[in-house]
Amino acid sequence: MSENRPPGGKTPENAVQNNAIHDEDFRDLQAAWQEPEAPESPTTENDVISAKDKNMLVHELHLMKSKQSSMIRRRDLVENLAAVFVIIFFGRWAISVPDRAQQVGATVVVLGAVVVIAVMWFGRRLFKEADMAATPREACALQLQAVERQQRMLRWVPVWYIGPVGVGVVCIAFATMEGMGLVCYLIFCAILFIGIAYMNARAATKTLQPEIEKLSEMLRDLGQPNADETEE
Amino acid sequence: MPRQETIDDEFLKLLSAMSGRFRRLARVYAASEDCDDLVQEMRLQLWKAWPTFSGRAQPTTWGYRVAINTALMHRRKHKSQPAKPASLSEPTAAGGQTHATQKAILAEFLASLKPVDRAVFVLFLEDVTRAEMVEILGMTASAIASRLNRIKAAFRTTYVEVEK
Repeated sequence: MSENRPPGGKTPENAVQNNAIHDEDFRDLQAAWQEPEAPESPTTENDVISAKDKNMLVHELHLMKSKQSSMIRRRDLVENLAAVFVIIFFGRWAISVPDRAQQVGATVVVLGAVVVIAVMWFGRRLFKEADMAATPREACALQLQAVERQQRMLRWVPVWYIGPVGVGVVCIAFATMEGMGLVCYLIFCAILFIGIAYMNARAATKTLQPEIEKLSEMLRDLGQPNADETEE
Repeated sequence: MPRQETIDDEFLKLLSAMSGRFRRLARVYAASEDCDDLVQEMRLQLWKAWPTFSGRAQPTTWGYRVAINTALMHRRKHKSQPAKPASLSEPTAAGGQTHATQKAILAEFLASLKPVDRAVFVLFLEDVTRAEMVEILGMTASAIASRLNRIKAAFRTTYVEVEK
């Protein structure tokens, strides 16, 4: 190997022998890259796949898939159960109380819970899992759309999640409370609702915005579908 | 998508063929502790997408596309972790020392590239033909050629000794 070093002082161990890229071939590097590090197991191209290994593979793939979807199902179930509980509780309240203001408040809460269920249902329907068999550009664009939609939903939480339910709860409070009790309750509700709105807005910014920026950058880097770059 | 109770032999053959390639790709896009997860994710995505495989492209070409998309999206989920290359194996037989050094250099270089450039260079290292790269990445041949030349030039500038 040559003793000469380029400007910048690369040591021999950090440099590649010049013949590795002679004629811009990179053959040595390709060979080094493709060299297996350990025997492949349990399946290799020439191995006979036993029925047992095949069944294990099926089981493993099913397990992975169900693990992913059960997390989503669990979250959806919790949210739906909470909304159903609210509908039943406040629905009965609206029917049973004689006071008009309370009826209105309870009905607004019920409608608010229905709006929450509807928005989340439509959101799930619109969400399309990125097609990994599409081109990277298409997959990235779809993923970006999904994340942006998720961000919009989080930022609009005060409108579709807190707003209707909050209005109903405040109506009921005015109909059932007075004086300091009412004031304290309203302050408590304000803190709660502002807190929920803040946490969702923060998640939209802190968690999702960086992902959106990185996906956007990747999309720009992938270029237009038929774009040519200048060949150097 | 219908539930797949069984795996057909064609899929199994493809999975076998892609096994090593998945692992090499995963090392480039995931930290060492996440490599196995990413490989599993690639296999899962391959299986989920298998019913949509029309057979127009080569299975391995299609497999590469699924793997690269999975890797590109996977990084997005673990953005807080630095994408350091996984540790490499010890040198093995004669000539292994050279290969280990070259692997270390490649790992370092690949980590410095943007995700898309990384995919282009990995496909080049995998000896994928230009036509297949076009199919996998959905870019034009000249766009790929341009990127590859730029990446090779960057590699040369950084890692190659200049002889007087």
